[in-house]
Amino acid sequence: MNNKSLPPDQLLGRIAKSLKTEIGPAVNAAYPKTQAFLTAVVLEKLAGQLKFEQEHTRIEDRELLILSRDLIKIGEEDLPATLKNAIVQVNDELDIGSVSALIKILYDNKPVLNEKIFDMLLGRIRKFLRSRVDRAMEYSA
Amino acid sequence: MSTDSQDVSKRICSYLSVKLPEARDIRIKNLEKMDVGWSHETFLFDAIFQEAGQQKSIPLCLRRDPGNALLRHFSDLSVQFKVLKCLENTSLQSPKPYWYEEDPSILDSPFLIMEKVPGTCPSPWGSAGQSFYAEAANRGTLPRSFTETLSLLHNLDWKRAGLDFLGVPEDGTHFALREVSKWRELIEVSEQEPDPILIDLIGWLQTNAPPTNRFTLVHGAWRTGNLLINEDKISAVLDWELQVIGDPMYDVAYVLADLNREGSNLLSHLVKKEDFFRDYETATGHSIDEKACGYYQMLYLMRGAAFWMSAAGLYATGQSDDIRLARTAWSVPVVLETAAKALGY
Repeated sequence: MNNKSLPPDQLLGRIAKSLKTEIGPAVNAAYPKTQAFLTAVVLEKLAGQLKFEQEHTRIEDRELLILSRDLIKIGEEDLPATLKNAIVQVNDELDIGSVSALIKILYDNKPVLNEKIFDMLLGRIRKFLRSRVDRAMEYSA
Repeated sequence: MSTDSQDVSKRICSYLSVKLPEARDIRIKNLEKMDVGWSHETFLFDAIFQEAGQQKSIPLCLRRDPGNALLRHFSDLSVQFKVLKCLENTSLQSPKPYWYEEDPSILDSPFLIMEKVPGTCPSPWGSAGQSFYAEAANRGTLPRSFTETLSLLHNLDWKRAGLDFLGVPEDGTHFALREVSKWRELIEVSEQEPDPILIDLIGWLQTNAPPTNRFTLVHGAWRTGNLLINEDKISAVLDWELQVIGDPMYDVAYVLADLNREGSNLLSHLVKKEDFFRDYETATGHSIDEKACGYYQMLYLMRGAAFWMSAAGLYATGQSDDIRLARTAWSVPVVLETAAKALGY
């Protein structure tokens, strides 16, 4: 038997459409009416997020790997130990939390860092984050 | 009138009978719960009563803390009441405060009652509000009032008004850094993991804080939608939730911010930039520091992200069932994308 169930993102999209075009307009009271329309918007956002999830995760994993290799290369310069450790952490964990931690440590070390190195490290991280936020905008905007 | 409204009405009457001991036959008319804002509940009504043989009517506004209001960490109703008390005898247009109550037995949670000032407050986010402000911009009176009132706020002798209880910053970068810390706290209580772009933005803000030694009363959200308008003029400054003693450029930056005009050529959908600069600088005797404003606009992006995270957090943690809050989870990347652009990504 063929599986004729809708993929989750399309299912949510259909429900959102019903809320917007049938259920919402039939509600008279102002507050529940707004809530019905807002629920449709939330479902549309969720649908978008679900639709792109696998592809975005795959791209992010790949870009994180490239980022960590580039950072390790820059980290061969003479850097404070905490900063070097934070770079190693990105390489070890390959997750977004370690990137956040690195940015924080980078700013903490700014007063003692060569400006060029600071800009190089932050510039490389920002390139990764730019690509990441562009993906999030595909379903958030 | 719904059962809820009847109940609120009855409880307000009983409260007013204590506060107005000379009043007889107190009734509440035209009770309306305002469906605006994200923070405190707002009720408008007229208190009708007999006093010394005469019928009297007082237009009132009641704000109640629903217990999960956004930004309640910054300014609870007791602070708002105190600010309004301080402003009562100044020339700044603000509602006269009457009473503040903490006792939950009266209306379930703390509330304040103030004067209901005549006027309207069109939202600048909808097409009706935008048309209202575009027409007012053509007439020219309201834009001047917008700038004059901001100048009045920044010229106000806040020490004399007793507003130093809000906390006076030290000269230097203390004010900007204190604001950054304050909004970081909101991010922390949201229980949402901050995005790395937000960490970058905070790092940038901490590194680039502008020094200042000129402090005024700062409203903290000076834009159309937070100002009551009557007969083409500002009749009252509302939303006393984010006020601080600080750099006046913090307010000016908000006026200049793109986020408050959504593509309109007019600041806050209302004022021509050159008119605002000329009138503000003439009225205050101070030049607008565009570099400092640029910094504060970055701070507003951080505030935007923190605000949406806090809203989304209230829904995620079950403190609110308002689906408007759930929707804000997707507003965070939008603000951060703007921040990334501004940081030069």
